[in-house]
Amino acid sequence: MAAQLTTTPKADQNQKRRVKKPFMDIFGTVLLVILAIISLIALVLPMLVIVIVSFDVGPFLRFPPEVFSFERYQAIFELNGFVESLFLSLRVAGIVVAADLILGVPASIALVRGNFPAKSFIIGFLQSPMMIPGIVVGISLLFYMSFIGVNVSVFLMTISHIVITMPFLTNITYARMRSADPVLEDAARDLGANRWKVFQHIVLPHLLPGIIGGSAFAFLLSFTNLPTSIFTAPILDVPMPVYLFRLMIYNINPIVAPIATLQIVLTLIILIIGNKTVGTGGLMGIE
Amino acid sequence: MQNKQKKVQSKRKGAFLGVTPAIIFLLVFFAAPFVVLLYYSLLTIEQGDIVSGPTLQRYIELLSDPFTYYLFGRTIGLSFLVTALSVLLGYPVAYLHSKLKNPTLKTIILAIVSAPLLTSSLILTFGWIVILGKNGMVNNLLISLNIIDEPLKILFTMSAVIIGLTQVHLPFMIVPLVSTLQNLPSDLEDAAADLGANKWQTFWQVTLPQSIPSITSGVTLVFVLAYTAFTVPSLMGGSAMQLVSVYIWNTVRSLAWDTAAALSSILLLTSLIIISIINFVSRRLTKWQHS
Repeated sequence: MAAQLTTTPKADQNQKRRVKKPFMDIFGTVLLVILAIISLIALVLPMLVIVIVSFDVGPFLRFPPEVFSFERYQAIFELNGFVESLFLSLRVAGIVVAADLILGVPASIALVRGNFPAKSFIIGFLQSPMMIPGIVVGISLLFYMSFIGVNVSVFLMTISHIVITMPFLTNITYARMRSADPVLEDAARDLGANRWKVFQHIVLPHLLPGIIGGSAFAFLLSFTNLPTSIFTAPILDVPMPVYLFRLMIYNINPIVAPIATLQIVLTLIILIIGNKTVGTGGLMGIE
Repeated sequence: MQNKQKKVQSKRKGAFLGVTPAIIFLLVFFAAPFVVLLYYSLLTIEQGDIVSGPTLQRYIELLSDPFTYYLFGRTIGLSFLVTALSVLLGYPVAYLHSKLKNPTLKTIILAIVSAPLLTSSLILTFGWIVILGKNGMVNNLLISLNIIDEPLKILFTMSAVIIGLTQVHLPFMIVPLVSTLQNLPSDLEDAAADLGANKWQTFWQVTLPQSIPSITSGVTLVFVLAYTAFTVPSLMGGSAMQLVSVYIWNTVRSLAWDTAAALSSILLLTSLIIISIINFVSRRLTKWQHS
């Protein structure tokens, strides 16, 4: 009798829980899906909107547009200084990638294969520019150049881009190098290959996806950098992001829309290259 | 034996040569400029020329000015709000991605997450200006639905900066979570279900605690990026909603380099302190994993 009495409330409780169960599950699932959809829409919305307004006309931005035209695309080429900025940015990004590769690839091979003291400290040091905000890197280089008496120039901007992009490229090639099998290199060496041969036939082919993905990412980072360039770029010779920033800061010029659309296309191409080579996570340094 | 040792040693030397150029480059163009920045924060500079120093004068001035506290406090508060929003909006995306079976849907989600990651924040900001502007998407939508008569002022307010910063940095929250939740063994969730836990309980007591380390890395990343962001606040904040980075930019432009250097140092120091606090709290929350 007593036992029965104690089981009854327990059974009751069980039933209560069973009633609660589906409600909380449905509520949780609905909440989850709603939040996920909101954030996925928010993630793509700015890009979609840019592409749509790039085909509008007129001196002001509006949404939705009322016409479809290529007027804004044609107007890009009449923009004063646009082509110069574009070529400057492309040139700087190219030099930056080359410098990143020359500095970063040997460093990542050495860090994986070498056997020297304070390795983790060196890795930390090579990654440290990633921890410092872009504006601080820019400001400190600006002050440094004035301190040693060198004028702000394209050279300074290039240097600042190498500082901020090199850790990303090194990270990607380092992760790639760590997954390489040292036995293959030893075997090649035992078979009489010299250092260069080992690099050329064993190390380089394995590193190649990391080199391509890392270079594409470094190129993009340099090509789109604003927070550092705004301090290190010369006032008259401005790169694309600073040029666009000036078109946006006081009065928005709608000509930015087609330029932004073209940059989105470039980004998608680089995203595909990255996905095919190191994966999206790999681009961010996540294994 | 001796020969072998020799070989290892030569390898060691050669290997260090590989890192040397990168180290020298960063010492000259990253570490040294940083020291100059700290040195400048101790000087008195007028119109770009060093007048006197070194003293702690700039720091004393800044720390006795209530505006400094207001500026940093506002930026820190706003960055925490952005971080909280990106956890709230980012976690469901990563969780949904891990639960979906359809590979096409999974790829679409990953593509949506990684596209803004690689798009420059300048471009994304431009998109938000089109959405939130006076003649923008939100205002025109609300007017056509007869909810409002006059366009609202959304752009150049705090809300605009929060929306922009959250979207720009959301992928940095989602990507680490996606890789963690994807690789989470399903055994534990199955075990919880067998023991009678419903999905809701399983999520709160099994899945979520295991993702704390990657939430922490996401939170750290988003916080620091939002705290030091320049593009979004400079273009969407307007002159009334200045945050630390925009204020520093204006200080550099007005040639008060000493104050700009001191403000940059405070920015770095405060972000380091906050990162340590975040990591400390996270370690407390995951104590069960370490023991």
